[in-house]
Amino acid sequence: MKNKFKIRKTNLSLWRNIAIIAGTFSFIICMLVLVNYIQINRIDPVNTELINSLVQRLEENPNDNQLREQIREMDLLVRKAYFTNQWQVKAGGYLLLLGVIVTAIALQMFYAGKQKLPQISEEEEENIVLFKEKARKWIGVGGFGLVAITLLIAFLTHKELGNQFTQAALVAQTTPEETSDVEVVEPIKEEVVKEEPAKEEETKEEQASEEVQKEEEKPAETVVEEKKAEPAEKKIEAPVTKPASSASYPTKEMMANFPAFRGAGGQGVSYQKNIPTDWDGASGKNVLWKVQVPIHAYNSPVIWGDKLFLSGANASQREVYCYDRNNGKLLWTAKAEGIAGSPAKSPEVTPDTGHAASTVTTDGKSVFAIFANGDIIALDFNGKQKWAKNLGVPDNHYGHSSSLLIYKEKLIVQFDHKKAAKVMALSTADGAELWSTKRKVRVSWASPVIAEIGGRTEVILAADPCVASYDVNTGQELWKLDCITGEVGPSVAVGDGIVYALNEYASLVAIKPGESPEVLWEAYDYLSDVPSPILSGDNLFIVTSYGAVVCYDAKSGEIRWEQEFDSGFYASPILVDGNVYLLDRDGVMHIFKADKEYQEIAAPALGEKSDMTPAFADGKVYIRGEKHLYCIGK
Amino acid sequence: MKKDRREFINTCFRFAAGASIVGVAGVLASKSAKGDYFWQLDPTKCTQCGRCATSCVVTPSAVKCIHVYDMCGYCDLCGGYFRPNVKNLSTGAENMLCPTGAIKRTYVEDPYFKYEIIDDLCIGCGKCVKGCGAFGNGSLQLQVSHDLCVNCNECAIARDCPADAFKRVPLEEAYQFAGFKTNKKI
Repeated sequence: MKNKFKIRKTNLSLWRNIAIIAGTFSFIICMLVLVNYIQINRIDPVNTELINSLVQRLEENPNDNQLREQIREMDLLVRKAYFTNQWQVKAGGYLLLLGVIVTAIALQMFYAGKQKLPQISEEEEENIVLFKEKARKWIGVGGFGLVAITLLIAFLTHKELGNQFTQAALVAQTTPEETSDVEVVEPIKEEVVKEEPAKEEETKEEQASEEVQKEEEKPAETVVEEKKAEPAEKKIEAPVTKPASSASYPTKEMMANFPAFRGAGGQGVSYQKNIPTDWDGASGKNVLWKVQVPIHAYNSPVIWGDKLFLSGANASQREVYCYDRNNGKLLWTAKAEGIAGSPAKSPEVTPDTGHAASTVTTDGKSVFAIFANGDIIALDFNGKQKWAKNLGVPDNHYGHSSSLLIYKEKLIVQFDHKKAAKVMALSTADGAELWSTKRKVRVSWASPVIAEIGGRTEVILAADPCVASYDVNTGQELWKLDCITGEVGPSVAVGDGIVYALNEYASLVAIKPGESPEVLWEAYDYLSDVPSPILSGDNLFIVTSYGAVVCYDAKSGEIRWEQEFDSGFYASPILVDGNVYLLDRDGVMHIFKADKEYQEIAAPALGEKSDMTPAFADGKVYIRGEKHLYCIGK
Repeated sequence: MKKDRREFINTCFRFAAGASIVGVAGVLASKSAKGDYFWQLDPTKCTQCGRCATSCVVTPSAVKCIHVYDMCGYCDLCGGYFRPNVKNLSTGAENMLCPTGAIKRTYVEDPYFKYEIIDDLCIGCGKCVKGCGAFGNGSLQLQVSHDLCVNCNECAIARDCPADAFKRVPLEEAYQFAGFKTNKKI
């Protein structure tokens, strides 16, 4: 029979085999592309830490040719791996597309050749009612299943949602009694501490605390008179003008100690004398003691009486340490655990900030610490928890780093993060919020500074876009000036009624505070992104993280001198007895006169890297290195 | 004239359809007159955090370093080309700041050198931009390369950018350079 329609005979087995081969090929290519893609994301040529550490080693030994060759080979390998992977993913994509097209064509041909005329089933008729019932059931089950899977994926992929849920669950489960769960690992042993010199210090400390209590009871006028007396004596002996030394803040006791980041009030001044200028960490010269700190963190030591406080934290542990500053003995470790509202998982922080970049503070009775997950804890001098709470996880892409400060019975917290920036005062007695003021600023890493300006005690904060001042008693915003941008790290310096603020990629600004604050002068030559400035008389010292130190005329903004150092600075400078103590990132302390002309006094080396600001007490320097805590004396 | 109900409803529908066609056409016309918007990053806000290299949905990133030659000092010791504290100015890997070797250095005359970005190798990490900004004139700047950008509705880098440096810009301002006074059209 002949007609115009031809019955095409399809080679079924051929098309089936092509489909199988092309399908398998596509699957293998798909897997290889996936593996390569994951590898590309893992090999990050930007942060090749190994190469960076080798380059750092080479900087220390510039003549090591073998190391140089090793760096070059490794660099080539990493680049090759990165770009080969990229090429493989691209080529794999095209091959995969080709494979899928061939598979689809082969399958189409195979099923087209297999087509048969439809036949009416001879099986028994379906019960339509039963079928509908089944359909309803499976649609219901399927719907619930989809909802469950969606929720599961939402929880797995949305970290914040998960965190919020865990926080809510924790708050719901934790009763108020459970919150005071601080484990004192090693309780204070009085008999160990009580050595001869220590006894004297202890009595001094007791007297000091009694005086503080007396002061609190006395009317304000008496307080001012009393405080004028002793600092005035100190001022005569000191060759430079010490900011706010004649004012009622910082108090006499605070000035006798080193109670916060950058000293009393965070002003970058230590009111100590006879501080050593000569030591060597490598040979142990003048190093009175050196102890290893259990958990690394970037916070700096603070001192009150015989005790030195630090904190340390990682993603799972948060601890506060108390050392006997006379012999380096770790008196106690307090763990911040089981705090109501504390997130189950610590927030992601960058390694150069860490989980405890904020320095602790003390009022001579208690010590207060804050961590990157928003946990804030108050401990008495025996390491026993007084109160603890969670302020909410600060949404900060590097990690919270603003340090704490105390004014009378108020603990000042600068809490500038992405979601709800604010500054608040918590009661040092029970952690209750005494005042809280919302701030329209971006995330800031600077710390508060408390200073007396025109007879008024102000908390001064720096953040993008403004430098702002708040009444320390009420939290009311006193003035604000939009003058600073970027990721603000340095805190302000205050002196002679002028506030100095700066940030890298912004400017250095001298502000005359008041109802309508004004910019006195601005400079752009040297800016800092980490270290804070200090003021000595009319000399303003700016330190940059890349190693430049500059002295400005604080009145006019003219550069008096500038000095370049080999290593950069993260630690803030401290003014001590007319000299500036400035620790570089390699652990070398640059000591120079706080004067109109640069005059180096000494540059002793610690022998260990450090980014932390040193503390000073009783003729000694206390430095937290990368791993160890040092006490340096004469 | 008397209208029956059917005719009245028909007329209403015709009016509604006509109005909606005119409305849609108007909206489309106004949109096309305005032109499209593109993602771009503001170099004055950029902090060179490095997220442009890792957050972009395109691999390697659609953000590239662009060299604004008008601002370049053609320095021998270029802060965007060499690592800080470099001891000798050679092209050895230990001296290079760019992790992918995407900057080409050519001798011009003593003591000047020309620096060119090799787009295919640049991953938009911003290390050179940071270096140039810290020690030089800031002539190296990160920009979204519009021939590579797929212009996502929600830009993944903009979402991750800690400095809020990303914004949508009209075609006329597709590239934005900091410190570039003549405001040249690229």
